Amino acid sequence: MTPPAVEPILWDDWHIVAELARVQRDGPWRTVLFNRPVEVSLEEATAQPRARSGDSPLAHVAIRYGFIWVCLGTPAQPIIDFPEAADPDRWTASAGSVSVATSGLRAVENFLDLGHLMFVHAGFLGEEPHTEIASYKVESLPGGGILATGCRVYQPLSSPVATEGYDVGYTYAAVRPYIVVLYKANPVERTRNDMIALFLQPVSEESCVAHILTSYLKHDVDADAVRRYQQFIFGQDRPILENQWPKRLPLDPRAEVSVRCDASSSAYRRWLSQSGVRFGAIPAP
Amino acid sequence: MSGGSTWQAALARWFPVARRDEVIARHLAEAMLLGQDLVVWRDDAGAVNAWRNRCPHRGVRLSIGYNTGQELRCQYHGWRFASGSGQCRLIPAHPTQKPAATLGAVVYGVAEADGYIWVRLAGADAGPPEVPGAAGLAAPQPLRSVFVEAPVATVAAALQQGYDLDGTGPVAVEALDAYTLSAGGPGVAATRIVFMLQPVDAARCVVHAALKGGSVGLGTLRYHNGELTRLQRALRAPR
Repeated sequence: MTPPAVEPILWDDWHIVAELARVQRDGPWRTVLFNRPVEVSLEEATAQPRARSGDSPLAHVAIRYGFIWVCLGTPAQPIIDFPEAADPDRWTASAGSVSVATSGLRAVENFLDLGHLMFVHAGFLGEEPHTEIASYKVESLPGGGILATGCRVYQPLSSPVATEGYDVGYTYAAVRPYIVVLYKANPVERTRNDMIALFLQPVSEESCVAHILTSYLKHDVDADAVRRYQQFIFGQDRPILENQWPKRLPLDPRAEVSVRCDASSSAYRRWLSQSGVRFGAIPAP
Repeated sequence: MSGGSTWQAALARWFPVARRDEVIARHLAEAMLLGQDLVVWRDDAGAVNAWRNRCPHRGVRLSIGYNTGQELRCQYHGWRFASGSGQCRLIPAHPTQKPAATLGAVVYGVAEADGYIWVRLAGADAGPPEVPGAAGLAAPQPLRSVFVEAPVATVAAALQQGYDLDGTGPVAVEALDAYTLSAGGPGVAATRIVFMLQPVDAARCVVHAALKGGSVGLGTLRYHNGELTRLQRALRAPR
């Protein structure tokens, strides 16, 4: 039985399905995207990626940022570009892939969320009594998506190189329904940003794989330390995500109570609703 | 069970969802009744709460949060909900702002009687429930509660095949209503056992069993634990 059709905004986009290093080490990788089986492998002679879904080869497969990407439809736009990835001052590396038993849209929203940092990541990305969230600005991105700027949070240990707590400036961008990026001030060079991108692979409407890409300035840190730190942080989010109900993200603003600090979450839900995203969501009536 | 009217009637009925000794200070217990996920907790003054197990903010199970003794604190954003009313008292992201009076956890009817915590999902109050049984016997003494992977009707039918009260052979089990069964009594033995079925959802239930009369020593507990475990295994869904 063929799973139901997926809306073009998701179907005709690129999605990560595997971490490259894992396929290099373990060989062909079987996974699921939009309820459909996907297998990716590397050609022995050329190391070129190959992908198929069931018996059908997939025309659109690519390697970028240490991950293997596929598009099941016809790509409406190229894979998202991160100029930071080409910067020799930075470690740009995968921080791993973690499966989570909830909608990828819930995971995006959690990534955009400021108010949980002092509770879920207490002692690292926030701390009581510094719980108040000041107003920040949320706007639409020209190519679709939302941008939140002017976010500030007191963080005791904001990154693997932080040695003291301070008010960290954040910028968030939900650039695709299943891709969200954050830029935060580097603890050593506070006028420049580190970048963390989260790519959610929509496995089913109620399960996903979170692929994490980090691009940190190379101040006293190596790629392994960055990877360890991010996996530790994500490990704190996962039990929260898996205890949220319903698992699909409700787009009706009346379904869950939002307050002022949820401005980015509300804008994200509104954008999904306006864009007709249904997979992983409970559409507003 | 899944039939609309039966289910509607069950919403207005009191059911035991936990033994008293499972709902202890500074702890959050989970229970499920008629498909509704519940968090059950006791405040420091001893009052018990049974709430819908969801934070109204982002749907996180409140049972993974923290019992402060006066309030339940959600694990996700630290929102605090008052014992009794369920009213939200604090949103840490906006600490100087008083939460709206309408903002709170969904609160269900809860009562503590005869060694059990009882919950009713709908309807106004009417007298405290009690464990039924023959008059004149001592207060009920809870045995171990067992989770059974079968609907209430199936478990009730299995129990009516008879229950061996003391290892001397099965005696007749009488159904007092769709969710309550009883066996024994002064004429048959010095004790009476009462089975109370908590419908978890349409496919599963918890059997709470209590003895009335006699004293419950370790040997008695162990004996009934064996009998109830046998019932649990016999009705387990095939894997």
